[in-house]
Amino acid sequence: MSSQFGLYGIEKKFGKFRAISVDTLEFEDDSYIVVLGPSGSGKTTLLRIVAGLETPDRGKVVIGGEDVTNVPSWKRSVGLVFQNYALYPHLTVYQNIAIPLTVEKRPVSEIKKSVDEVVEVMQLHDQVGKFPKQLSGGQQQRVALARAVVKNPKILLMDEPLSNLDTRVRVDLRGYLKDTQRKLGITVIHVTHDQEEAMALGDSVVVVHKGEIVQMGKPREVYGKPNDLFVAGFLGGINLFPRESVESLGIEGDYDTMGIRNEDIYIVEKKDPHQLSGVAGYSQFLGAQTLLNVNVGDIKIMTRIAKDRKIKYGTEVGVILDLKNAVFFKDEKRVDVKIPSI
Amino acid sequence: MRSPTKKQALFLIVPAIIYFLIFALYPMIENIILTFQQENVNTGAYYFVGLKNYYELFQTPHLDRIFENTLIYTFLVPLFDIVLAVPLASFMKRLNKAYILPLVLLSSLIPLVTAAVIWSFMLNPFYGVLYYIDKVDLFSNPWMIVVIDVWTSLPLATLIIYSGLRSIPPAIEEASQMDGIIGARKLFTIDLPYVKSSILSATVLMILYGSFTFDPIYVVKSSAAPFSITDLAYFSYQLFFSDNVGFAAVLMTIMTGISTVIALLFVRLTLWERKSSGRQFFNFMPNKETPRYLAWFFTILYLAFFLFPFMWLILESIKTNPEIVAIPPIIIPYIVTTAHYTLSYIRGSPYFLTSLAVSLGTSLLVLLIGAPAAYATSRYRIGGLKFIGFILFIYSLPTVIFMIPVFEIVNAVGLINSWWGLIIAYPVFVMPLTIWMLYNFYTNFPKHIDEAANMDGMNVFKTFYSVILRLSGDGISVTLLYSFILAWGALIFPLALTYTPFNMSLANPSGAQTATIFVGSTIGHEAFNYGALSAASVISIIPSLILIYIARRRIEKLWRVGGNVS
Repeated sequence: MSSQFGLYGIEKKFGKFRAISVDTLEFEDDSYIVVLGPSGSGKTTLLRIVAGLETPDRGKVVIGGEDVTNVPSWKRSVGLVFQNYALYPHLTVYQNIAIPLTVEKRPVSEIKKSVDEVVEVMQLHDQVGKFPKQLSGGQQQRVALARAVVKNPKILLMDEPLSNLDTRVRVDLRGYLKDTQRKLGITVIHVTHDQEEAMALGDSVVVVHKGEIVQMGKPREVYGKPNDLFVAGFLGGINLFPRESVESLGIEGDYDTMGIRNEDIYIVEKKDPHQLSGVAGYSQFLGAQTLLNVNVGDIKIMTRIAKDRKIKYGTEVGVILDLKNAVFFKDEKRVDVKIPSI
Repeated sequence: MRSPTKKQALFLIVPAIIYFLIFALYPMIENIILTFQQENVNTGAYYFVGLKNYYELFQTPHLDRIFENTLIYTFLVPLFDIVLAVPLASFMKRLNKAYILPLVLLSSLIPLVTAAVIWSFMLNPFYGVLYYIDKVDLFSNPWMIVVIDVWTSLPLATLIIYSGLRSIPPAIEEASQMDGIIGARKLFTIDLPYVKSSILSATVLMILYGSFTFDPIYVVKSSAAPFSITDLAYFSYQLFFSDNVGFAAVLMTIMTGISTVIALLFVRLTLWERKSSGRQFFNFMPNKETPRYLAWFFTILYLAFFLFPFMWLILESIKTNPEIVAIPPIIIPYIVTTAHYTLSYIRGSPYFLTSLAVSLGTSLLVLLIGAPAAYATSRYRIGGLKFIGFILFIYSLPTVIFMIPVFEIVNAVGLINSWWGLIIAYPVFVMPLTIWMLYNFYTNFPKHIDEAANMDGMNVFKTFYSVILRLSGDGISVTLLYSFILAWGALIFPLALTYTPFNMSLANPSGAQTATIFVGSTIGHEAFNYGALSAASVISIIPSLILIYIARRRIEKLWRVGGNVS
């Protein structure tokens, strides 16, 4: 049985450049899906195909159990929040939100009721008479969101919705977006290049790279068990050890690289028991934590240490790896390796 | 406090300001003074006559006719222009073909005199296409002037609105697709409100264009009944030539007043963004994308209107004389001849040479004075919006009002009937647009380049002349060509400032009548010589073709008369 929402055998090319190709991608109802990838990876094209702003060269788009591949955007039951909001500058907030309904010639009373409802959810009651220019970035964003959901679409699409905002507003709005999704009981597809945002918001994260989906799963899964070196590096700081440099740890198995995230490496004094030894490099004080560079042989690794801990440049230190969180790769792909209990 | 760079930049703008003070501001004041004076026919000296010239206004016969014609041109031309430009601009956007715009623009870039000649061929009830439609004489009918005006100004109106439509952000286009607003309904609900300021600017510009119609009247006049098509601009020119300078000045002052009001509106619209509001939804409009074949159909109709007259002109120029005057008119000639080209080359070369030299001189002079001024205003905010506002104001004044004082100035320096006389006078109507175009160009020019040059120890002049100017090839070349076209098509100044053709002697030059005079009066009027006239008209179009070819990709961006500056 196919799911309510899905993409099947999708491919889109711009000239010779393959923007995106998807074998099968199915979404669960009412979930918050984040599509994550670097710029140029094809994530926005994926979103635009769902929205109907791009027609795929081949493949099928299913929304609400129906094939909508050849259905125009406005009949697809999708709402889209644009990166720069794309509010109509000559219309008031109220008119902007109401426009998808006025176009359908719904009765005025019904339009008012729907708009009032969504204005309530988005906490925009004080703004309805204003023009977009008179609003702050965060408010404009909420108006764009309101316009996208006023028709009760089955899917809400968001293209980098937070990237035009200040860092602080961005973090506040994350909670707001998640709340809104719960309240409306709607499926959200949210496109971003920010891995922190992806993990904070997503029920599942879809990682896109070079026009392909490289991994899909819950945030913890994608972070902890990345499918390949790209995903491992893109989701957060990771240290890679070629096999020969960690031969002393005695891990058997078919792998060529071992990866360990920054926070899974501990630095101890040289005299304490340790697995590898290294020399401390520069440290970066970041407020909540400190990042420390350590040279292990000719491998440069980075690790987190407590914010008030100071290790002088050039000090010889011991390095302990938390091997139960290690991931192993062969030819850039993850492989399962049994770790001997020590 | 002024920064040292700002002080230096001031010198870049000074020449332009001095020029405009002498050739634009002084004439406006001088006109007002002249309204109280009359010329002594014997000595040429002016004497004070009080309000006598103003009284004359009420005693002129046919003045009602003149005002009526002026009103017809002022309001009907913009009306037709806007009503026709909006659909054309939206069809062009729908079709999105780069080659349509240059084809549309052609008729607005040729000398107005030539345009008028072309239409007098077309609308000749015996020898023109009109024969096949309705055998009426339109030559004494203001509608003929309206047709010529619309043919030459509609492209500009279309360009302004088209540029506006094209500047709608793609996200807004997609948002309206998501919201289900498309086709005609999108045009009225989203696009037109979005480009409201462009439409208003186009309207004002077309009002100015129509209200001071001159060249077509000059050409058609010889076949028209007295006063039947005359308007204020033309009448004041006639008065000047019949030595009624004081009365002419009264009319010019009136025109200056009217256009000041319109121009203020124009400057406001262009330089200040307007607050928008609107709550109409055009729900009755069809919510369906215009089928491409329909857009093509109408676009081709428009193109036929724009281009057919050119075809007619070219056919006319290669017909033999008997075929030119055949009734019914012959469309495709049986015998092709180049005799008319030979004749107009022999007779016309002094005129064409003058136009070439004067247009070249003018465009270089205008660049020399205008480019630094545009750069200084856009970069260092010298004069700021006030200076640019003043430039746009000059741009929106009818050329005819500068005629008398500029004649006096050129006469005073002894340059009447010479190339140099025209070259120093032309910038008053060419330079405003040059500065405006380059102002827009430099506003979009990356600022870090001059900052880098400053950091490298160059002063403002060095930065401008050795860095900026070398990098502005794009903007300069199009502006230069456009200035050339404006100078090439000029009629009023050559009429006022010259009286003989060039004597073809560079050692002892005299005479400076231009190609526009050759086409507009000499050749068609002395004898019944339509062949040579049409051949000369074809030749007069060549610079415009070159401009369009070279600037075909850039003209949309540079000619931002209607856009907002922000």
